Amino acid sequence: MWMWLSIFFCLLIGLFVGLQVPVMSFVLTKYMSVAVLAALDSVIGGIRAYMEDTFDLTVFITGFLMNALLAAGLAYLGDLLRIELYLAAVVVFGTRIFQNLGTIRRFLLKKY
Amino acid sequence: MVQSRGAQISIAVVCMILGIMLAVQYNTTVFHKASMIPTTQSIENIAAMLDSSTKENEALNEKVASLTLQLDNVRQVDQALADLQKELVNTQKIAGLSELEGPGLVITVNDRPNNLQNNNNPNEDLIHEADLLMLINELKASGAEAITLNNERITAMTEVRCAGPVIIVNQNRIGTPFVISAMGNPDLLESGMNLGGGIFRQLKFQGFEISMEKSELIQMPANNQQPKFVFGKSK
Repeated sequence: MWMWLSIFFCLLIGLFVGLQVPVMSFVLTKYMSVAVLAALDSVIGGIRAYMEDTFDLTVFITGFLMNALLAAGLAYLGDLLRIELYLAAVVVFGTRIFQNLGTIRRFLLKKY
Repeated sequence: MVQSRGAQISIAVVCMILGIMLAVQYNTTVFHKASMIPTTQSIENIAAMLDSSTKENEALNEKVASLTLQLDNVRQVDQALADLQKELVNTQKIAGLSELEGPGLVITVNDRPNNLQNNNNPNEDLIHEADLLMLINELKASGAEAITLNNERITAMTEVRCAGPVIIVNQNRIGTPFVISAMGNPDLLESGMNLGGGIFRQLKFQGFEISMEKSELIQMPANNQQPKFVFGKSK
């Protein structure tokens, strides 16, 4: 229970801080969006791992950082090659987010 | 438990970073507005706008072409008007309807001083309209461009007519001394008047007070008698 509260609270703090940060360049929004998706995937994956008691801090942190950077890099590479590679990141992370959410849902259903 | 606490903290921190990223992304998207992010709908709108702009452009191009044509026509009309204006000025000059200035010759002629002792006919001491007409004729022959008689412009239809003690020119009475101004090359006019047997010489010989003087600048009034055409119709 405490975990959900802390997650929600930190998310609110993050949103509040983020709204104070100045607007970034329009060109970057495309990479940022993929990075946001990667971060969302990492967080949900982390929550799932935590619930399944298979959470590994190193894996979580590196996964978060690497996924975000790789996704943004992939989108940039796609732009260079004129291939919409960011779609691959969107599809992969989207699928994984849904899978992880489904797992979390089942876990919660079992628990309560 | 320690493991669990670390996991909780790390997830919370990552959540905070995620929140920051989300907020920045949202802010940026809102700031740059939907119009700058091409969506299918906006692309269709832009395509339609481009289409209508192209059509408008074509219509405007046609308008430019027609206006250019019109402008050309107007220029031609302007040119024609300018030509007409020039012609009008020239014709007015010829008809004596405009004021003139220029070099020329001024002849002053007066009656013979009365010599009653001679018991002559006083008529013979006077300058008559025929003398003036002959002088004017001589000046015309010598290349005068325009002539005035006592400031009355001599035109094609000007009468020089005896009316008792005065002479009528342009329906105005004039008397002695008569001043005939002729516009033209002063030297040519002078030599023309000095021809032997000419009217100038004759009048001088007969003892009339007659003299001529070259002038650098003669001012000539316009003929204010507007010619009226009642019977004559232009063909």
